[in-house]
Amino acid sequence: MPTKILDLEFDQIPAVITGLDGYPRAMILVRMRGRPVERLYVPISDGMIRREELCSTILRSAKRPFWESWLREILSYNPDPADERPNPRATIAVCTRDRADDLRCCLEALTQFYGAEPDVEILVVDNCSSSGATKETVQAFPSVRYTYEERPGLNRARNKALREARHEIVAFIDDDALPDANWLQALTRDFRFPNVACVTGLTMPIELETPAQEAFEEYTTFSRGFYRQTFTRSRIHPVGAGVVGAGTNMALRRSVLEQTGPFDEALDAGTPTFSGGDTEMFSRLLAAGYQIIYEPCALNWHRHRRSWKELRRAIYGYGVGVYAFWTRKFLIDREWYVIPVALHWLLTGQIPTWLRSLLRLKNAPPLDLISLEIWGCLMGPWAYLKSRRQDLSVTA
Amino acid sequence: MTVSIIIPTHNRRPVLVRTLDSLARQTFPAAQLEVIVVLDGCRDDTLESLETYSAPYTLRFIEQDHRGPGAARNLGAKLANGELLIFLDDDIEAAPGFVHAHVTAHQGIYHKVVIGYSYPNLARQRSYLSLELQGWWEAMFQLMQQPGYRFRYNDMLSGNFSISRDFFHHVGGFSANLSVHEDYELGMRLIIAGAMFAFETAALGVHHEQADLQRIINRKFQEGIADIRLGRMYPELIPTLLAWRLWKYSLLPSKLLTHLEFTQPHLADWIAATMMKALPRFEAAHMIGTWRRILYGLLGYWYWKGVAQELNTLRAVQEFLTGAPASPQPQKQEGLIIDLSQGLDQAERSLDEARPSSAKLCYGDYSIGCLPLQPGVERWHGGHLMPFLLGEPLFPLFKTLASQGVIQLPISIEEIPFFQELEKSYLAQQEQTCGSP
Repeated sequence: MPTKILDLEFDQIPAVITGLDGYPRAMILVRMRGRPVERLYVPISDGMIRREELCSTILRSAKRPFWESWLREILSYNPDPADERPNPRATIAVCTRDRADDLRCCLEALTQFYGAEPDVEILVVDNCSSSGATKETVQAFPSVRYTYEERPGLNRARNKALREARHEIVAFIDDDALPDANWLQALTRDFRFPNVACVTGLTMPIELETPAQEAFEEYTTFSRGFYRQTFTRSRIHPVGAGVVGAGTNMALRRSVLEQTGPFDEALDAGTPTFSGGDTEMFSRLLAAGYQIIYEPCALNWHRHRRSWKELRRAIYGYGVGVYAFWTRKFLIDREWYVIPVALHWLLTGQIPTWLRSLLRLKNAPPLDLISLEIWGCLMGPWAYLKSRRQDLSVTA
Repeated sequence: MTVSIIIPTHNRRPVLVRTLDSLARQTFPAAQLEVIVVLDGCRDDTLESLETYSAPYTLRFIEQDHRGPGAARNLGAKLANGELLIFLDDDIEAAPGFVHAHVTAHQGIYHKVVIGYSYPNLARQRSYLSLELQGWWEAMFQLMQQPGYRFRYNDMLSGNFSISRDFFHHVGGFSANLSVHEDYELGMRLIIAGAMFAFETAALGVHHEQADLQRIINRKFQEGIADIRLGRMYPELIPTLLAWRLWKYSLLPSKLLTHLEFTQPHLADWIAATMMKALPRFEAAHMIGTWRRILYGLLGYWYWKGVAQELNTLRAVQEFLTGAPASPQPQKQEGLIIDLSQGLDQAERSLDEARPSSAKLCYGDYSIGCLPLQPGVERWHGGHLMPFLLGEPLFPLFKTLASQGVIQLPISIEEIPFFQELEKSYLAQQEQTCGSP
């Protein structure tokens, strides 16, 4: 049951949207003058959607960001004059490993938007790809810089990007993601405030064609909504930093990391811990008193893994990553508060969900996914210890 | 334009010198810049080091007996030759564009008061207290950064702000009756005089503050005293005072402690002292939640101690707080009507011209509500309008726009779940701030 993704400007919705045969429903991103304001699922009948019905559905589900943006449009409100200031210079970093085709799409989009900008650098960190395909792909783009990280691990590649970047602000995007037109501007604008160490953005799925992609979107969506949010340590406890955003759409201030330390190289893809490296960074920045801003206008599009096998691996990896991150918090940062939080999560969140899946209740996720995630959680602490041992032997 | 920077200082030579050094690196021409240091009862070697300090700008200094920063700032302002006064604290290190940013932000508007951004530099401090302190500052600056923010008297921070010399003298400078919150009191008089506040991020200074619990607690005590005096001067501000909020919203343990403070001061002191001793242990155990609750309990305790010094009994406190006008009086409406059907620009212009304390809001013949009267908040100007409309009046506005045919909705606005929620809160708010129509 695939879902069609539609990206619509609210006042330019055609009378009838056709060509939707074979799709029982659509996920619609609603924009107001380019600004993403709402996301909703709409059923498709006879391969088409009519404007009348669509508009009614949008209005019924629309929340404050939609109405606010619409009022701005109606009254032609001149936006924040601060927006007109120049953006800070930025390096866009793409960390990649053996995904030359995805990378080509990503670089095509990036160079189309930013290839000619003198203040933007595009940097690809090749994380020990097994063949020369990654390097060859990058060489087709003269405005893109290539660098090689010989030790496997996404966090090692991220650290390499931070060391190599020419600019103070480093914006990360995954090789399987595409930027929206205004992505970098929106993601870097808030760095004019010195206490902002990190900005995260909204990530939408490029396609939901396979059951695995749909399950991913419903199970662990990247979307954090359409409200702009400011996170500080007085608002959320650093142990729960996962709500802040994800590494596929984030920008960091390099000078801050000189004080709080680089990414933890025992975490994330390419190591036994599979993920958690981005969350751990958010957590450390919050604990050190910095602000993290979630800016929905910083939109990018992510291609979720297509096969169920890849999905299972990803979900298992998220389970491992979260508990590996908490293990680090406990062992290195001496944050014992993770123990009640981890237990609480397991007992009130995951185990009840697992039971609901087992009983096949409504809205329960697939049983194999939740089981894998819980299994991953239990493996997390050992994975972190194992990864650290490997890390020490690599560094030594 | 000529500029005078006024820096009060008290026994902090090394800190002061760092600030003076930063003023020597300004992009603004040094020939138009005068720096006046007021030594407020200094007993260290500040005077000697100023006598030998060489600066590209005109450096002047004067001594007074220790009478507090308000009196020191008044003295500095009296001597100032500059058309624009920038008040700067001795522990704020100015960025190179600091003076320039203050000057340009004024845009030649007489009533303008520009508040600069004092970025708390706690880079090497990682204690809970220093992070908490930084959080307070940042939360405040973040609020002021929002476009169309309406400034309140207690947004007036005397550590980094600028005002034309004539306007400063016109409102009468700082009050000598208050040892702290003298900036709030000035803020109130500025608001009454129709000041137009602005926050300027580029007027950046790095605030080198040391997080010191004993100092913060002493200050809280002073704030308790000052707030009661402020409330006596301006009864309409009583509902905005911390005493009011603590009295209404404190949780039971804090309420008990406050009660003890007035009835059994020795016992209360012992409890507070024990709490203070326990604080580092909670930090060592990484118990941020408990640590925070205890900190706020302590701060509240010391604040009430100040209040108790002014008001002695709980009965007096109650009388003081209930002596406040119920809530902003809805009856005192001014005649101005803002009609949005004439376009946003026109509506903003009318507000800019009239600068009313309150106004009626309509769209053609339809009433949308009002721009409410709020004591201690700057008068309305054009920039305030749109952010206000995006808040509570969203529902009546869309209702009117739909009924006027400005927008076409395929369904009735009452059917929209978002507005069903908004309608209730809007009606309640209208009742409170605008009175019955």
